[in-house]
Amino acid sequence: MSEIPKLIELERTEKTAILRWGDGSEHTVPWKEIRYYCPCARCSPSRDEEGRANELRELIKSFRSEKPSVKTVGRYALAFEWSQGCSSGIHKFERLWDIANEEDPDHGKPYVHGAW
Amino acid sequence: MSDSPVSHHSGIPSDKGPEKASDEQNAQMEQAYAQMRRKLRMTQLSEKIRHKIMVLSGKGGVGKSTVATGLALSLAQQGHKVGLLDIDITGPNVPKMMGLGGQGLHVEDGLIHPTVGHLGVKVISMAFLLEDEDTPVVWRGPIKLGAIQQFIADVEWGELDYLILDFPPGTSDEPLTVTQSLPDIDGIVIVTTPQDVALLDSRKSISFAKTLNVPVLGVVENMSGFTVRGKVEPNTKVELQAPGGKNVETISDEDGQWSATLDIFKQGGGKDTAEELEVPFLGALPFDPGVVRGGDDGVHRIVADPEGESALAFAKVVEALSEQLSEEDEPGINII
Repeated sequence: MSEIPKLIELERTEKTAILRWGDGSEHTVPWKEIRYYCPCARCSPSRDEEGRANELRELIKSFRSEKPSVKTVGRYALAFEWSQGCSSGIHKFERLWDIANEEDPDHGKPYVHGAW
Repeated sequence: MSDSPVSHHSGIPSDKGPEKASDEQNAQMEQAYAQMRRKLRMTQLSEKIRHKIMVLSGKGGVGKSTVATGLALSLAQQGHKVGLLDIDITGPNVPKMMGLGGQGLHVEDGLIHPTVGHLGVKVISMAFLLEDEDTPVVWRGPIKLGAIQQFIADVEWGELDYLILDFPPGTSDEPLTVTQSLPDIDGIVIVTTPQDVALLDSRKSISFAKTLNVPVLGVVENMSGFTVRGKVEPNTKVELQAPGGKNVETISDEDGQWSATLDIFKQGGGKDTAEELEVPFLGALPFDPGVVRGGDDGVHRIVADPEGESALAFAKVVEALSEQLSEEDEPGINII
């Protein structure tokens, strides 16, 4: 597991998540980007193939902007709940760090069931 | 209007069609509402329960339930309010060890009320649902998962200083479900015995905890050494043949009393594992046949002999554990 700074604060705005980390860095990430990278078993396989990935992007674009409710999952992840679309994903801090740094949180690996 | 199933698809309201649909909708809404309430209660647990500690072992038979029960009783002995949740759905042993065999669950206002055992420890266990203790629970994963979530969220624990969660051996569904369902878990205590196989599996438990980013509070070595005692002439050298071909020597005191600790398995394996994997070593618990008898009789050694060797060893483990908790007592993520 790569070492990342501790996530200290999450500020929710209508369209973005502002992530503040233990090293003093701060990232503003659109919710739609987090939703696109949902790690759940239903959304993940959609990113394996370009055509379906675009469909997923379009679907997420069609959702209205909203501030999700959020809960911590253990000490390793966050789970977001939206009124429409998928709310199943458990977003590990490492994934959020990757998304915030505009890196692919899947690291180019196709989805394999149960491999999270 | 016809009772035919076709009428349900016609889009035309019927006498029975809408009523049936409404029942289904109501059931779905009730289910969704129950799920929402459960989620809310899980979040509220964080406020009511100060510390949540998972007790795991990679291998079975290392005395995990005995250690979980001992930790709960030792904490209660120190005046803390303690709950003990036996997540070992397929082989729940905690009630027997707590003298609560044959008890049932008490449900009031939709919430399960724990049964109170020795020293005021509140206990919830799957065993309370079994009609007889010889009946195995044969459940597939999703049912087990649902039962665990219910046992976490639908229990009226009240205010607790500590909730100790006892798991079945291994790193499967149960601990995964709990770490995903229960917010702000303080960490995991790993129980091992000083054998290579047990230690190997403990390493797996530690890796598992690291994967889930749940802190490892430390390793407890159980069945660490067996103390034998005797009486001979005062100031006499006593020589014993210990396991593994070792010789142990000791000298009797002025009353002729002597004691020596024999390492039944190996010496210091738990400590070595802890050091190797850079996690705290919380202490070693002696091999105490009284613990086995106490477990079977429903009176844990800590209750039967509160000043005894096992009780003192548990107190030391609890002290080491408390040090880890105060270090880990840092605030979580601030969500605005």
